[in-house]
Amino acid sequence: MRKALSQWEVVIALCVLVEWSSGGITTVICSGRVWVEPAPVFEMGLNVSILCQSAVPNCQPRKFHLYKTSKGIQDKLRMAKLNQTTARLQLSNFREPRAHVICRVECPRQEGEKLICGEDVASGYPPNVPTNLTCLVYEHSSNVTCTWDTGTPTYLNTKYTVHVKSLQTGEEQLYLTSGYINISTSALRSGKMYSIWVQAANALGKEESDHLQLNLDDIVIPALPVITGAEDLNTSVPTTIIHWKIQTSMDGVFCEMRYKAATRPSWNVKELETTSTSVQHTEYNLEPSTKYAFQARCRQPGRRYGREWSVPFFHTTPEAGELFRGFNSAPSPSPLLPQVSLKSFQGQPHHIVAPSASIFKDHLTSGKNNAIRSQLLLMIFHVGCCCWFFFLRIKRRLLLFLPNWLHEDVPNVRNSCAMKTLQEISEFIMNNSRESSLDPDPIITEIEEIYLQKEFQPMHSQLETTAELVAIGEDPHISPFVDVTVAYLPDPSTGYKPQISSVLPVERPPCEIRDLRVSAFESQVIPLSLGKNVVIRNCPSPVFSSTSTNVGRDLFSLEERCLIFDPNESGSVEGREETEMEALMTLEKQPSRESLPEQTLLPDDLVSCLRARGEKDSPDVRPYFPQRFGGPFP
Amino acid sequence: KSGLRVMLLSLLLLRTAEGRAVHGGINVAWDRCQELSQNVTALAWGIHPQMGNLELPREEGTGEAVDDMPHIQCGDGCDHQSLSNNSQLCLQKIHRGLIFYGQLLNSDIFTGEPSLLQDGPVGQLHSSLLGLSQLLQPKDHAWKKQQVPSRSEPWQRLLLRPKILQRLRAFAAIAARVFTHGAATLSP
Repeated sequence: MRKALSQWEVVIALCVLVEWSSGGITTVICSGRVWVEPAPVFEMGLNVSILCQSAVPNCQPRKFHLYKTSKGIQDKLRMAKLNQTTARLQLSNFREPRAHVICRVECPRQEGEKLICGEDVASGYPPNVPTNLTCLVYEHSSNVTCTWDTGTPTYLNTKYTVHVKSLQTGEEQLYLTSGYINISTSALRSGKMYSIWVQAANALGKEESDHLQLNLDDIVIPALPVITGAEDLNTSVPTTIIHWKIQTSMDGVFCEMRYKAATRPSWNVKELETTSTSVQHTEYNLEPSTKYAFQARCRQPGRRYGREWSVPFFHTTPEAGELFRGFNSAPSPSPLLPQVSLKSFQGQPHHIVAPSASIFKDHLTSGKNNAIRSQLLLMIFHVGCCCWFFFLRIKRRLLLFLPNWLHEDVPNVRNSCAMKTLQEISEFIMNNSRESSLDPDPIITEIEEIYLQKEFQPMHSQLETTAELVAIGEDPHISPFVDVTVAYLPDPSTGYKPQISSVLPVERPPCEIRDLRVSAFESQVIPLSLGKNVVIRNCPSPVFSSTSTNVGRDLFSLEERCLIFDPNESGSVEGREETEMEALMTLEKQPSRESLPEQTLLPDDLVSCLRARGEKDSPDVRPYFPQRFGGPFP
Repeated sequence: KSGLRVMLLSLLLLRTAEGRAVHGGINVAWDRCQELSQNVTALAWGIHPQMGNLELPREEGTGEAVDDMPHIQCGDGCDHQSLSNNSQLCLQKIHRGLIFYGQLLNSDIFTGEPSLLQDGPVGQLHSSLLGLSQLLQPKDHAWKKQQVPSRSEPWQRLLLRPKILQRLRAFAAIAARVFTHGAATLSP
């Protein structure tokens, strides 16, 4: 215990001794001086000299050391002695904005180094002339705010003095600042007219701005409006309402709002229609699931001030409604069905929402009413499209539960006997026709017509049959091919293929689809006498009535209308549409491959019927249907 | 008159009780003080390599300067025997030192150019000193009463910082030993 006590006391004694021997803890005593030539603050890049003169008593310094600290890095430099007590260090192209130097000396027969003194060194540039001096009074503020451009950095402590001189009384006030300044309007009591200028000064020089003469009444900036919130309306055309509030009470101001998608660089500016109330709202039709930024401002026309915008208000629009989302269902494979018209609804449903394009023209207020009206019509139209679409999807689902013989494969027109026959005829005619002429295809490409001789008859073809048969053809001898149209269509994989179709005789009335369906219930099998048994069976579904066909027809019409809005989308065929169209076609044709006799020729009645349809809409007898056509028997 | 005497006596008793609560050894949280003082010591010793390139050769003391800092001397009652009898004097001395060094750490010597890292070890050390002093005197406002050191030149701070830290380490070592002894022998 005694030993511990003695150690304790020794520790205390040592600490006290250390404390006493350390001298003043917050003061530094120099034993000489340190100075910089030409000056401790100089223009960046100059050559400078640092001199150290020792005044340590009883010491003729043996060595002079200079400790230079800059940016946290310390260098120990050897100084060159000029005489017994003075040394110098030359530094060329000095470009460090801040540096601290401390000089120490080594005395003979003494340990350690003695402190001589230190100095702070700074380099930089003189100030630039202050430019763009602007003084404003923000509405509801009691200050005159003056700002200016300071120019390039000086790297030095630069002060700015704002001079405010009354043009009426000559009274001048000075305000010292390091940047902008707010001057209370209560301090400006010497009239409304003032001359204001700024003087910049640092250790290397001073510069003065141009004098700005102003009237305090002309520099008032209307208060910025405040965007208080956003509201998304649950309509078929996405509508976003931006609520904002006018803060200014000045007369003769107009307000603007600009908006853009957060990821886009350019803004869309819309002049706001204000009402007498302070709370306002503006409607936008925006793209779904997109983050938008909104800013607003109010200003007086013709003034160069007040071009600042309010702080950005961000709003993310909701996802597209279920109505549109339905078009994004996964496609099912069915390669040759004319479902292209549905393409425009899929993939990018917002592309068919025409208002999304019109919002960028909102600043054209003159066409606003027309735009709203057209948007409304388009909205109704799209709702109709979508309803049909879902109706067909439901039907397709139901067909999955039906026997195959009720709905199999008739839409796969490539395998139909009619199409096979047409293909063979076309090939035959292509090889043997003597005359040909161009007949424009109303939809895709030009059409070449070839007048076929009566002796040209198709050799054979394979046709499909069904249990319930409909004889479309009549006597083949009274329905010869008067001419054959050869349409050059690209290959389906790349485009269309050439095809051949017969031209309906003039005296033969066109076959009507309604008649065909009526005859379907008669279940008559009439072979076509074109050298081979040719039977085309067109059997409506026993489940669905003919109105289903009308549904499909209407759908195609809608699809075509939809395509009008985005014609670029009509180039390819997607599997999902094919499946949907397959379901549609099932309502019109009766598929059953197993028990059908072979069909070898295309009946003329069928050709006539197809031709009649093709004259109006499109070449429905082609082995490959054009993209805008709904089916062989719409 | 009797009522006035009772009132004066009550005020005197209250003040005495408050004084004992603040300065006396009965209510001192020795364990907590020990923990914080050890933290101060560790920070003070660990702060040196993180101060940057402030390694300047140690200069010989001239003895001319007047030392204005609080000292812990042999008569301050910080030895084992005195602490067991009455720790008040020693704790007052430590408290005064904590206030002094805390003020230095918060002065332009450490906050001015050349700048140190914000919220770095110096800031942590300052917070620990403040916490320890408030353990000793919760209601003390000596932090505000202390005189701010005179302003120094940037190059002078490069010399003052290591010197102050050196003194603070010695002070923190003694304070830590005092609180360690108190936690071992004086804690209830």
